[in-house]
Amino acid sequence: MKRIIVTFKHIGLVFSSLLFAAIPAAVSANQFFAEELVQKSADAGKVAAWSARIVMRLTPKSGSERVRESVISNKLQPGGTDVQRLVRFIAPADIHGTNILIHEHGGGDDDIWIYLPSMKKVRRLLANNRKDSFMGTDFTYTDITTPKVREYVHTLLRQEEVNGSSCYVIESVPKTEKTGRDTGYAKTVNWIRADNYVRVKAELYDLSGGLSKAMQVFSLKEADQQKGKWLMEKVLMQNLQSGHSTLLEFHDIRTDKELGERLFAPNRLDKEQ
Amino acid sequence: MSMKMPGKMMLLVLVLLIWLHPVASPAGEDYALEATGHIAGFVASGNRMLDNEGGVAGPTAAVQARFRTPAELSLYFDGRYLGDSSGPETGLREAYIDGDAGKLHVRAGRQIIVWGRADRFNPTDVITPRNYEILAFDDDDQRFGADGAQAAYAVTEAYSITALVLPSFRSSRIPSDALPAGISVNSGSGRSSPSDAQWGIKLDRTGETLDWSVSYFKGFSTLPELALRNDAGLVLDNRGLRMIGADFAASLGAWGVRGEAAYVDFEEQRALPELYPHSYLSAVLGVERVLGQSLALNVQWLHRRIQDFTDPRTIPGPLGLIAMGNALIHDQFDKKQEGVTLSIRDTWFHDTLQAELSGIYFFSRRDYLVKPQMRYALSDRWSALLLADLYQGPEDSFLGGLKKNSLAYAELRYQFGPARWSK
Repeated sequence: MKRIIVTFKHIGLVFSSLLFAAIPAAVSANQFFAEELVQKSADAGKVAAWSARIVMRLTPKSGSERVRESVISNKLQPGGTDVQRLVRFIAPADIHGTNILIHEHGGGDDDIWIYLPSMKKVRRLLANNRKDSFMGTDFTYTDITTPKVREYVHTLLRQEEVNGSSCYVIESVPKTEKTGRDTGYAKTVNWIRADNYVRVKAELYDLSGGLSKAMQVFSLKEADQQKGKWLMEKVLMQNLQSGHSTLLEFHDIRTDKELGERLFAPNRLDKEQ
Repeated sequence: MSMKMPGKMMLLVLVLLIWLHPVASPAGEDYALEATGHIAGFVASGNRMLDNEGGVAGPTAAVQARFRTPAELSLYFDGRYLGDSSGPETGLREAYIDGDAGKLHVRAGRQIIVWGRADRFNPTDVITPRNYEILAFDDDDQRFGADGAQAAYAVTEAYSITALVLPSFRSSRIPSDALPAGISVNSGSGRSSPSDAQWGIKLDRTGETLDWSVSYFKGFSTLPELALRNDAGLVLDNRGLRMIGADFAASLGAWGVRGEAAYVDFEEQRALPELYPHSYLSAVLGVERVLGQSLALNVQWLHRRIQDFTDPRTIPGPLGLIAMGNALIHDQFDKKQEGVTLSIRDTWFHDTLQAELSGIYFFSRRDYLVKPQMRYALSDRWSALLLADLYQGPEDSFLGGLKKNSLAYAELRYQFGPARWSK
């Protein structure tokens, strides 16, 4: 039964996209539809509460792999739209005890705090540091946080298959120069699966317009069948200019664990939890 | 600060155990012990004793361990060993128990307490001491804990109230050569009677858009002063003080703004008050911004105004030496001091190479400190650290008085852990 419903949904979406593509005057309708898809994609990753152990494998073009390990806890903020995210670093030893807390705000700048055990205090990070590398990985803060859908103009380019799954290919261009500067990307091209709206592939272009990074999801876990929520289990980000890459592996994903609000309170960031 | 042999043995045993033990999964445990640390060797062209004795070298080691229990209680331990040629230094920097009871978080034992949101220059950071004789790559490694307890009550997710009590007092350690030539002192006051208990309270707001706090502390100056006492002659003594302070941090788009201010009032009046440090108002206001991909720029303006100031250079004879010594220890050469700090930081190769150039400049006496630092991660375990300190200025200025602290420093560090045992 579910398959039939999904199929009807697909037909509707494909029909709409063809219609919008065929009528030049309706370019904005195409963009509206694409924005809806990107919003659905963002919502598909918004699981009420989940935690996991992440292994980050940093691989240079030549040289040995470096491994970072952390525990991540995520919970939707009261209101159910924005995510709060806590990352506690376990290894290697020099970043052990470093905690990062992100309170996302879909309509504005996120709040980001970091606790550095050597300084013994909580420090607020700049709101516009979304282009900064996330702890030395190939992912930036933009890449690891929920996309701010309304900051971009989205255009449905085409449909194509990725690893046997039909995907909408959507180009997202920042509406303002500031968003581009803050995120470090002039545009992104995203492959969003038609069946579950999960973004499974992306190409990211730097501010000079060159293709700088490529992201690919290798494995997914269905977190909430009823609500259609999905989590990534394995995702690779490749820096196409330097040859460096980072593989994120999510282990021990738990969606049944109770994550209290206090876990995400900034005044608890320096406390043992 | 010194620790007897059993303490050193404990540290050594822990280092060996961590080294040998593999990381285990934390899932499903009731009790767990987790530890990290490092061993290192360093060489430096000078030391922090202000004695012009030349280069030092030696091994260092540090261990941080936490023992968790199912009852939301945990024990934390931070110990270190510094073995330079000026003599070994072993210390238990922190050893405390902490846990939650509803909205209350309690921590009791030896602990480092750091207040203030400004960068490195914190007027409200008056609670726990430092050992200024220690030569380390990171200035924060000079900190060591005070014995006491603090409780933080989370009023809401953003607001919290912290109260602390320190029944005994531990003074900062300053190099004896920081004192003017010709001055010798007897040992300082103990400050350990119940009436000497220190306490403080802080209301903190850390939440959307703006973080701030207001704080009050009543205790003793962690920095000692040269004091003439009828019973003991010239001693290093720590005077009672009250501090009222506030700080804030906000992120305004591309800019980060931080500020902090404190009024420090020395309580006890001594005979000949012109010889001693005076109450003061200190403030810091700074901005930071990331330029390009990762270049972080931070600029802070510093201001300090001394109350009832007497110029120590106008005091003749041996009493003048005492006044000059206190002015150097407490940085009180001028009634009004304005300064600026600058820090430029960047990282390369996915945080493998981190470098920072920082400095302080005081306008009134044109004294300054320039400090380049670099850390290169050879692997996940090994890293090389380089540091240089250049202090300059006239002798009768704070940073000029620390000229002998100018040095170059190199360290090769091996980090171990995290190691886990669980049951």
